[in-house]
Amino acid sequence: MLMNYKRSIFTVLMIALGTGFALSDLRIETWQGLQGVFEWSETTLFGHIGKTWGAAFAVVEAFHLVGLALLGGTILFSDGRLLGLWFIDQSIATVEQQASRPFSAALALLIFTGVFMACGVAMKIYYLPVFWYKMLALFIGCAFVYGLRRPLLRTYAESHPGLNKLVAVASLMVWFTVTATGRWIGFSG
Amino acid sequence: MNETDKDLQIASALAATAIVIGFIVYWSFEIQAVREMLKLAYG
Repeated sequence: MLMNYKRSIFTVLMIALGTGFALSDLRIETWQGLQGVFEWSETTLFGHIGKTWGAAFAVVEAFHLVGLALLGGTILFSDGRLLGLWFIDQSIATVEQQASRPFSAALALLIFTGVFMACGVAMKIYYLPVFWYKMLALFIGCAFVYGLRRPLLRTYAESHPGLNKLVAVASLMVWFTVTATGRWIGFSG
Repeated sequence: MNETDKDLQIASALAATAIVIGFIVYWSFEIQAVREMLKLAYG
């Protein structure tokens, strides 16, 4: 019986483990343990370019912002449809299908340019709490989209309007947090 | 509806609810912190 609810059990376990991790000393120990990785990343090629060549950093940052805009556009497009705000003449499955590839492309662009930028300012962001909140939101957003949202909408797109709206609101909230904390990092220090 | 379908729907509802609660808690703390800083700066 319980084995038929693997996804639900896994979700509850992840929520419980995440909450436990956030409230325990393990969070601080993990953060301290990662210091060496951030120090090393400043010595990589990306780190050297990011630190010494401001123009390269600015160009990469411009592409990062383009990625943010594209990601935001695909999210507003698909979550707006789930909420019944626009494109209601199109089926949810069609909108999801059209938004999924640009979303993944934008996410890949954001991660690649984000890693480059992070190497240039690694020790600055290491000490910024908002950077870690952004990483947490990014991880949750990716797990939510690829692990639950897509399989759900691929199979039951039209069948559960209430659940669709809840999923859309959660998706908007998590990606808003990713983008807002990202801009916050840009304005910090 | 079979149990696999139900499982996906329950898991999605649980995760979405946790995200909504987390969002409200996180941004409440951040907004409160900014309000306190503004109060310190401008009275």
